[in-house]
Amino acid sequence: MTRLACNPERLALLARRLNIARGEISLQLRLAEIGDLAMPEIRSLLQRAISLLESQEDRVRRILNSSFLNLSDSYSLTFNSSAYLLNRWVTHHPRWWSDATHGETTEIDILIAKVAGSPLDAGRLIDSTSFLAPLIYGCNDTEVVRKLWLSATDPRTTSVTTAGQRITRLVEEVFGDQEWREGIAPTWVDIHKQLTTRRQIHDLLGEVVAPWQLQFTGLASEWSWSAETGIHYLKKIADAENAAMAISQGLGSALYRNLSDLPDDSSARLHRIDSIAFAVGASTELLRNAKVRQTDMDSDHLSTLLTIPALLPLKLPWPTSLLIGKSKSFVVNLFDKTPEVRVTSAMQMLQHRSTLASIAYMAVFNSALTSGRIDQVNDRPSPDVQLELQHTVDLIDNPTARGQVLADLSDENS
Amino acid sequence: MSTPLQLAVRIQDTINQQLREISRLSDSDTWVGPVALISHIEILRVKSLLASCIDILRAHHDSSGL
Repeated sequence: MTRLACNPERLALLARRLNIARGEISLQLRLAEIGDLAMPEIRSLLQRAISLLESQEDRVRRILNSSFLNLSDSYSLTFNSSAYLLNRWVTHHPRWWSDATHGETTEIDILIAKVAGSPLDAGRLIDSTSFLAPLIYGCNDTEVVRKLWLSATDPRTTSVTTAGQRITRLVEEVFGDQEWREGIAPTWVDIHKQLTTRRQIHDLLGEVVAPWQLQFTGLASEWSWSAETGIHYLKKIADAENAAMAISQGLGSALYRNLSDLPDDSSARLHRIDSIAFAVGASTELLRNAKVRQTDMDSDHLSTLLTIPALLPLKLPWPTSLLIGKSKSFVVNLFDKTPEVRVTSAMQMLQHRSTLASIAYMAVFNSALTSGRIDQVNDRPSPDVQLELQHTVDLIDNPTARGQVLADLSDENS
Repeated sequence: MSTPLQLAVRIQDTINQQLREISRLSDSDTWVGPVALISHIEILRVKSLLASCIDILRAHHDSSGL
């Protein structure tokens, strides 16, 4: 079993001891240079010993000063103590996962709660272990786990790369084989609570993934994995109703965030817009299918599944093609008499895309404004920018896709 | 006690106290992670260098007949 990384207090003590030993031998070297002790062999041996201790101390201090540990931040000592204690607990209590099923606060609950609220410390705790399962299944209170993962992947404080490293490990751990439970026969209490925890973890995945869902599809290259793998996991996550809802609600802000900062180079900019449009198409299609698969579930929740919040006041010049609700009303008229879930989910998907196209338009407009390609909010954009804006909208909400959806529905209802 | 012998005792104390503590702290069996960069062999090498110093100093002490 892989263990958590080292305890920095012990490492700091080691550095101090190496320094003291080096100081002592340096003093002995000075003593060896006086009177009848002035022997070349002694001098040479002591100098070599000093040199070896010096290189070891350098290496220890390099670790202490690395991003892995930061002793100038006294709080990180607390964090690392948590990591160390967590490691020891998991090592000495092979049934740690079973503890979490017995309705009481576990040692892991207490240790994780200490760092869960801080994005920096939560992230460091996750990064410092290659055995992730205790940080997912070790708590009796899933809210602690939720807080830990949301802190460590918050897009306001986490870079794209770091979030990718953490989230890809999380989904692989959740959907991979859980070998750590082999050899321990669970009781029925364990199994029951484990199933509940599993459901809660799947819901939590939706919240964690929501702001980063574009990196599962069109922007998969930013996380160094393929869109096929990303979509595979996103689909699995969206199987949980609450997770699908969280993903749906997070799509608008994910879209806005990723489109607001576009490259200066025009072809790179268009490439990014294309990739994001692909991601939006994948997310909305996947959520539509998720909704269809969930027809057997509680129908009260379905009405909120594909709802996204309005993000910003719409005070921008709109292209004529962007008429929100146009496609929706057309489909409503066509299928008004067939209230099947397949039809309603298709209608909502079109409405969803229409709204997302508005958000994308705002984001690209904002990016052009920030980069100086548009001078004033009320100015008419240059032809190039207008074309870019129109391109963005058309990629996300276009007549071809609308026609295809309608044709599919017509086939099913004929 | 002669000066060479004093120095030998002092070096022996360094081995018994400081190096023993460094060995304990860097025991690689109880560590995983960056501390693996600290080689036990290097610490044994320091100990061996100091032990050689002690031998030379003791020999010097014995030969001087003090």
